[in-house]
Amino acid sequence: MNKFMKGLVAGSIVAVMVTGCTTKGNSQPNASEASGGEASATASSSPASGKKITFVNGDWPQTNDQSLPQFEKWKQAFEAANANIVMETEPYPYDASTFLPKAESGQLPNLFGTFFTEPQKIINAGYAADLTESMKAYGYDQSLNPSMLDLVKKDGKIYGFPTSGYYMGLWLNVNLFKQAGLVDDKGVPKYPQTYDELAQTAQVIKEKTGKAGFFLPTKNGQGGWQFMNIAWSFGAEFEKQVDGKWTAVFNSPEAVAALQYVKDLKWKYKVLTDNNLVDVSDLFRMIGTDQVGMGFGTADWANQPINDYKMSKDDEAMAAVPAGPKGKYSLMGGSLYMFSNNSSPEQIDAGFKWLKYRGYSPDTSADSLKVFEESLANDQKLNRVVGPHSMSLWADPQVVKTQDEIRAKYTNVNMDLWNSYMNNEGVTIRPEEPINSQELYKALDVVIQAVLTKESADPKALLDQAVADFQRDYLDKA
Amino acid sequence: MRIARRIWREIPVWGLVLPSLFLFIVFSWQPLISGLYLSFFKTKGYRAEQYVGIRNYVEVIQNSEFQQTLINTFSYVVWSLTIGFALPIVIAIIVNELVHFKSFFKFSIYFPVIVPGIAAAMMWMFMFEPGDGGLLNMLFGKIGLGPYPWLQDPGWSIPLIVVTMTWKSFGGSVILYLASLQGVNRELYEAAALDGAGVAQRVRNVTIPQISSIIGIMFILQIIGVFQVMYEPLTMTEGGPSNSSMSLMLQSYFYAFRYFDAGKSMAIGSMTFMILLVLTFVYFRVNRRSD
Repeated sequence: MNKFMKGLVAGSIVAVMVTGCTTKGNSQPNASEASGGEASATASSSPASGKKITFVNGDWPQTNDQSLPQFEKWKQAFEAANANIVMETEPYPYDASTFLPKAESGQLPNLFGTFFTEPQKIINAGYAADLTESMKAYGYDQSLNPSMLDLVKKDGKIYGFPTSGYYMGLWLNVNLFKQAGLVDDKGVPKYPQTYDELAQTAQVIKEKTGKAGFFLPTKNGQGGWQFMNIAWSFGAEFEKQVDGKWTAVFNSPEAVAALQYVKDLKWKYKVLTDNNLVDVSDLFRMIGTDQVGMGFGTADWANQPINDYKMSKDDEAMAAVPAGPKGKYSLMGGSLYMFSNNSSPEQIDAGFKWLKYRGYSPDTSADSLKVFEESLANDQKLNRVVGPHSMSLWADPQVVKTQDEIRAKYTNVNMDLWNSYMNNEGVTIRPEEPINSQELYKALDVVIQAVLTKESADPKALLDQAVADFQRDYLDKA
Repeated sequence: MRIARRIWREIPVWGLVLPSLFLFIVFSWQPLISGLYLSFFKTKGYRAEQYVGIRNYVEVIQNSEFQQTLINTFSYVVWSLTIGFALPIVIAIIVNELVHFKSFFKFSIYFPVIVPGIAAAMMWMFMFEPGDGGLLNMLFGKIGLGPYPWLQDPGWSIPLIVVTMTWKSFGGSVILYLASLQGVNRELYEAAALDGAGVAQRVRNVTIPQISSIIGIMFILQIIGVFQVMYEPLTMTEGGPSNSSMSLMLQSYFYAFRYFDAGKSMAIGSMTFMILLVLTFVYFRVNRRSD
């Protein structure tokens, strides 16, 4: 028995070691393939096409996305046109909780999408490849909208490819506006022009439909992020540089008035959602299921509630942001592509070819616009919103004009519901605050949550404290 | 020759120990040591860039949110001991005395432990939904109470999160206590009964002293476990409202994942480790003295 036991244990150890090795042996190539690292770039020679480049594309629709079949077709055509490129796909919607481990372990796809709030963090951590050479080679450094390009640069180098830029507007649920009797005889919502009107409109929606009138996110840094629209309109400033030193100034009377306004939305007008701990994913759900009348949004988001919550494209409308005492201000945002730091120049080039193929190009030849047009036709077929859009990627007015003309052919919504947002008259578009903007949003989340959960909260005292803390924690160290 | 025989005799033992030793090194000790190491460096991603001494610690402690976060973390522990420490002991004693449906109750009590943590936290989040549409508020509404803000009230966010944690994990403790209770010699109860001891006296004088060692271990394990609370507040409140439910480990998570500042994240992790080490040490000292 003893011998048997010893034999068994010794055998098991050997078995574990062998299987351990085998598993490792098996998984190694997979891991390196998925990693999109140097290893996967290693060319395997193919007599017909020379070097094969494996390129991992993270910008790929999820399995529940109805545009997946269209993407599959594009992939086939793209690979047929570029015989030396093998495109592997790995849907990776940017997610702060998974990005760092993936990046550190070399598991990021070569190409991945993210938002304008992130690139500086990613660049500083060294996870993004320098794209300056490729941007120059393809001429994008000249043709892309310079204000967007600035957001993806550091020390003169370009690390990202901006793919859409947006400014915030006021997103409306047409159904609730109809139920509240807030539409004109053509069915166009009577949207608010000022923040006072916004509160009143929201009140009518709440009274007539029982649903929340306005949505303001409060967590994940998004409360502070959207509060910018309101605060700037009230005349508030956040960070000021005096004699080379950055100072937090968001406890001014204007900022206090803006925070008081948010507090009034909750306690005086009673038009906000019952849940005070929400973010934009809740907005998609609530606007998509007729639970809220208005919220800050952008044309880029319009298809989210249609895809996820089966909302009708005709129940959406968007207006320019309302005016505060100091005018109309809207925060600029957008999305971009980046390449993981372990991407080889060949993989980056394959990615650029793919982006060009997808229509991200200032080239106005019919060939180049083909996929751009197919993408609009596909959206139209899926009953998604086609027509409204935000900022143009390209600096050249001729490109903008050509793309607008194609878009007009496929427009499938009543543009009267979107014109206010599209024209964006009198609105100043502002980029994020320059220093520690994410930490600033977090600090503002805290004060916004405080005024929304406590009726007795004092906006002035809260902002004084937040300013002192933000100055000490971040600006003094900037 | 004797040594060779001894080694041969010990092979099965080492065969059993080595896999877990290997797992310990890879998943516990190595991360612990590299965490400590990184906490003294300025980091780029997870890579140590420049030795900065205790600067990460100083900056983390000086941060305006640190004090509240530390107090909150102790508050989680105190609430958890208040709500969830005695409960599994009481339930284990009751279940142990049951004659019928014992297995059913054991399963029902253990069931929440099987539910994945995030799913449980989300389920409770829906139940705690404020406003008239929330599940609990609807139930309370039937008897004319509420609606209550639940997790949205900064004063209640920690105790309510602790309630959900207790619901999720007390079953595991009950099973351990039950196992321990079954080891108590029945003759002691019979002797106590002959001496005229009632139920309460038997529990106080026989049951509790007999299972006191496991109670002590569970006490320290609960402190260690709850002190590291993270995913419940992350899922249910993100540390809000206004940081009222922020814990040390959640703050550590935010430093790492939201601000990509691994050095500071590791500094908080290391401090948490030190605090727990001290608490455990104090506990064992006190325990030994009382023995």
